[in-house]
Amino acid sequence: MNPDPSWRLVAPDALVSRSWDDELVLYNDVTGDTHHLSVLGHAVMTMLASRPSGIALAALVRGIADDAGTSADGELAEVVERTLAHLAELRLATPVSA
Amino acid sequence: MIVAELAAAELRRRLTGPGLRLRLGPVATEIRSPFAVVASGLALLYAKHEVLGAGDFADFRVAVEPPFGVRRFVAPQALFKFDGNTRFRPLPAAQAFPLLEWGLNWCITMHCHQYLIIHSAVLERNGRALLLPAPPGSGKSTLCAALVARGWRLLSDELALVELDGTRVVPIPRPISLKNRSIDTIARFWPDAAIGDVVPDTLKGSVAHVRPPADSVQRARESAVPAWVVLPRYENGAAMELAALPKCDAFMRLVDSAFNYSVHGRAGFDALAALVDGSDCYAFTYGGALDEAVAAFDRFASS
Amino acid sequence: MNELPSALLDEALRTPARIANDSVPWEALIASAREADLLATLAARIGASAGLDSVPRAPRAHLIAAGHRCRAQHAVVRREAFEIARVLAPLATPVILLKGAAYLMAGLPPAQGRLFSDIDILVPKARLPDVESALMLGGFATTHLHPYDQRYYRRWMHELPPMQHVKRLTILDVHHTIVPETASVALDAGALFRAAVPLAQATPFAVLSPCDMVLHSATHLFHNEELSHGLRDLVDLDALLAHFGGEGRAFWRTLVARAGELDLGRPLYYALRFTSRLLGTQVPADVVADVARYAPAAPVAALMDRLLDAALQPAAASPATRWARRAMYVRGHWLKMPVPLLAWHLTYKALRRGEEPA
Repeated sequence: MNPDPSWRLVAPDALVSRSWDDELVLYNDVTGDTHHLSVLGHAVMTMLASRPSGIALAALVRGIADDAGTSADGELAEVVERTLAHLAELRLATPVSA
Repeated sequence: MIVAELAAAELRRRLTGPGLRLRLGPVATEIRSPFAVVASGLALLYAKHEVLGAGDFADFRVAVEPPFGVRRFVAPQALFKFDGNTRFRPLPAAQAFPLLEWGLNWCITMHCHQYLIIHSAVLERNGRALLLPAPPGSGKSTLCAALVARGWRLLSDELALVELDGTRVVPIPRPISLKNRSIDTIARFWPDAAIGDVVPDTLKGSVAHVRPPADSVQRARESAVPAWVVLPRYENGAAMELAALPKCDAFMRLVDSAFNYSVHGRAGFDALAALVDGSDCYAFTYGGALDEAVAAFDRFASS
Repeated sequence: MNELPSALLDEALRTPARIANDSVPWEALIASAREADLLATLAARIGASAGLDSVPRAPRAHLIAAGHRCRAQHAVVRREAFEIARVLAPLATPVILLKGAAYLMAGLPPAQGRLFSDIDILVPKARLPDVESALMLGGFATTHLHPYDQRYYRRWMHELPPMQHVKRLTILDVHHTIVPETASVALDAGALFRAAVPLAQATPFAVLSPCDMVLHSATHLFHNEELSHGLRDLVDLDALLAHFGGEGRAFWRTLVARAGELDLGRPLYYALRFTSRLLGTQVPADVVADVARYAPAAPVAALMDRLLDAALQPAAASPATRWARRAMYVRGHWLKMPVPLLAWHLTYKALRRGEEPA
């Protein structure tokens, strides 16, 4: 298994979103679903949107830590990974297949 | 002409013959029914509504009628018919008027997809709309009736008809539906209210309807700009609290409260986003002190 | 416009451009289109000719609302089709989309304004068990749980019991042929698969060939025991015939020949007769003459004319229509099942009604 998989958005063109207080609501035209994402979910979605071809997990964690002004420790990495798994369940994000 | 100007005999003649045609905000409906409780309910609760002529377009043609057959002599029942076809199960004949009200709600929510329709009370002050989206039991209708009693204009106690650009709410003023203890509460709080018969033992408990003020009915063509979204929660004896509600939370509550959000897809998202963008959002807890509650709403309306 | 309740609707569907000039009894037209589930079709046809702006404000609101509902249903059917494709692709079996879903995914004219109640697919009979288990793993569950209904569908009908997705609640009908096994018509389903047209943008789906699509639509209308969607089915046929028939003579020649091959001459006769009779569908005179050999004996033909004219009316409330629908209900079943089996089925259904809570 790839120790540092890359992730991307499933269908960036199908998403419309609105952000208030750093949280995000978004509509996915592929599934017809509407989601409410936390501040972290919002940050992950923003990073994924900025890298259409995919971004490695480690780089994603670093980027989020930089934005938040914290350090990219193991705890953050774990939370980001959980968030990605959740986004994958919602069919918003997917690992980039090798 | 308004319903109050129809003689009782003429009202009955229309209901049992060609149909009574009423304007309900943006929709017009034709109603037929042989039930005396329907005639008296309409006479009292729709007294200020405009009566339309036989040649005017009716969006919906509905009837509340007894079923055919021997059953009617055993335990009288009422059926709701739409375009001549029966909808829903029969209810006891004593519930014929509430059945008409529920049936009309069904007609509007199932067909008026030119709007985004939210399950919400809507009131107005100075052209600005207050939405109270809430599930049953939240005290939404009680609060709505109390605000109307103190001068807020009623747009609807059940259905917010939102234009698809999210910038206007269209009035559909109809009787306010009260349940159980709130019937007495409002009768005390608003002694001048015209309240219809209390109908016991319905699916929703005891039900009674309050007539909307003449001013609200006459101004049914004046839409309003959404300005406040307030999620009410009634909690017996609780201290009143008005707290800011994060807009994302308000947005998702509106999604859950919209009858036809999925019909509109992306346009529905955009409409609700515009609505939330332009509104102050609050969560409101109250323990039954209606004067205090109305004062709180009056305060933010004038700020 | 004559006295039939749906004449108004037939007329509006046939010549929507005239809406702009005629004094239209809009209330009756909107109500009958709504009842026949054709409001969005009417909206699409007016939109493409006179334009919705030519409709007065109050009825226009209904046409606009129906258009919104229709677009939403189409989005749902497209999504569902891709979900089903994802579930069935690993089986490497041909899957033919039928009726509404086929028109929509193949971009054919009957899709315009068409509302849906379910999605229909056709798979080879030998692959039914695989398809059913794959769909169950994909979240679809059988809806008719009563053991009698289960046996009835599986043994006598041309489909699995309807399946419903447990979360998305969409309903899927899985067929292995287009007429029931018990019907007197013997149809080689393999011929349908051999002629099918793959949908490149939606693997593994295919749609029936143009002629088979028309024949299936005809079969569905005239073998169907519930004619509540009768007029809608007829509108599908009208749009298919106008589309494929407009492409040239070859279509009509192949259509008549194919009806002979598949033993579906009688449904084709009815389809052409009633689309032209009620909706003014253009059928070349020599084709009308050619399919006349499939007409039933004269007294039956006259009776069927009267039954169908009435049964295809949208106004279910009219007693003549109700009576005609009941007669068609018996006839629809009679075409599908041997008579003793039909009697048994109707009796059992009647008994079951007593069991159900009032």
